[in-house]
Amino acid sequence: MIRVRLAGVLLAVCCLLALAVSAFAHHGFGVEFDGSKCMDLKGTLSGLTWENPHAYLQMEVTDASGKTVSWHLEMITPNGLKRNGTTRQDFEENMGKLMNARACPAKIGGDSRGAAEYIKLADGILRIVGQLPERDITPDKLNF
Amino acid sequence: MAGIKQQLAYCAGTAAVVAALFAQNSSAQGAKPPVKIAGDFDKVHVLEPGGPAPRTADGHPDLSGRYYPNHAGRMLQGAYRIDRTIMRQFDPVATPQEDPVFKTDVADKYLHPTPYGSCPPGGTPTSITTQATEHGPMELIQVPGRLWILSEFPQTIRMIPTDGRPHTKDPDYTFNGESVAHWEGDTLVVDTIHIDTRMRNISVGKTGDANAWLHSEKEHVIERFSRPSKNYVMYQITVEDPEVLVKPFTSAPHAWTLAQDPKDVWTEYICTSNEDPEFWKNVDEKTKEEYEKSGRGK
Repeated sequence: MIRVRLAGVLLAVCCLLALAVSAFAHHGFGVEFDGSKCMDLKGTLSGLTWENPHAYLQMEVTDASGKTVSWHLEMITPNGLKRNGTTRQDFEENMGKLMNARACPAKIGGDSRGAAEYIKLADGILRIVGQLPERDITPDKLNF
Repeated sequence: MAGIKQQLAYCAGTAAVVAALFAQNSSAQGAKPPVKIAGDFDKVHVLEPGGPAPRTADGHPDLSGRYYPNHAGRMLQGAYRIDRTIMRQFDPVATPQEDPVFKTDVADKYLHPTPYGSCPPGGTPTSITTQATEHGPMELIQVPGRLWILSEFPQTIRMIPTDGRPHTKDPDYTFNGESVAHWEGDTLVVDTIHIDTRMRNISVGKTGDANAWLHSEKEHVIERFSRPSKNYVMYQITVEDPEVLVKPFTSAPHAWTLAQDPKDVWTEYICTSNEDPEFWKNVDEKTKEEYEKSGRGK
């Protein structure tokens, strides 16, 4: 139990330090997207906009009531995605297939606009494709 | 202050070790195993010096190469939780950097965050300094008598005479300004004046678009480039602007590392997404309000 508490305290220190990393946020993500309302989405990859200064993916998500919402999720730049292991071809090869995303809704610009943090396409590879408005999110906390 | 930062760094290191041990223990008890993430980030490390810097026929260090604003020799993203000693360009304990000191009455005119989602034009020194938030590499091409500096984003080309010539009389105001350069030992000193006042200083001092600031026609930028070893270029700036700053701002020497992946090629980065001006206009206004409420990204 002591070990658990110690790890918790020290991890909290890490989280505080991670906040300092917010200075590196591209275009002020924390201002633009609501890091307190992030959610796990499961749906179908339906589109990709591969452009600057940000790439976007489109996914169709059906909620418990049967209503389908088309989410428009912002990612980082194509040059950053490519150099960090995610290409346009990765999306195209998985188009129309099921995918998961951890996304945070935009504070403005529409209810189904958001920022993608982590995604897992149908190829099963976990990818970080955006900045992280949700500062304490780590892969082990994802429900996919 | 430095002592506190050092203690925090030690705490973070200790926390990371303990967290790793805890994670291993948890894994053994049936928790989720470590997750593999695309991008080979488990292989990222502080790049070694790599031997002496190459030199040109005239004996000066050859600055040529593609460099990234970190210690890894590759493009990174802050979101990947990379160790700060790899991500950062300088050690704030060993080489502290004071923030720019602005005059008290300049906030409305000069202290403006970069509008969200916009692609501001590059210029001196932003096309280099804005890379602190990992927009892309800096490519240096040194040929006899001149240095070319290429930036992917903001897509910028600078041609700088390195023969020690003086500034011309009353040069045009441009985003890059007029640059001339001379060697002081193994350091190339680039002197720039007449920078277009629409050019925002981004990551000049505090990093990030939220801390951007404009400047007057009197802004004078001095950049110092050196290559202490094959894998490292050091870059330091001094910005003088008597209209905006209480005193000149001088950065710490910032490390850039040579691209290590031979498949890493130049990427076109032309912004094309601002196709709905009304949408972006609204976003910008809202963003400005949010920034102001948030205390300019503090």
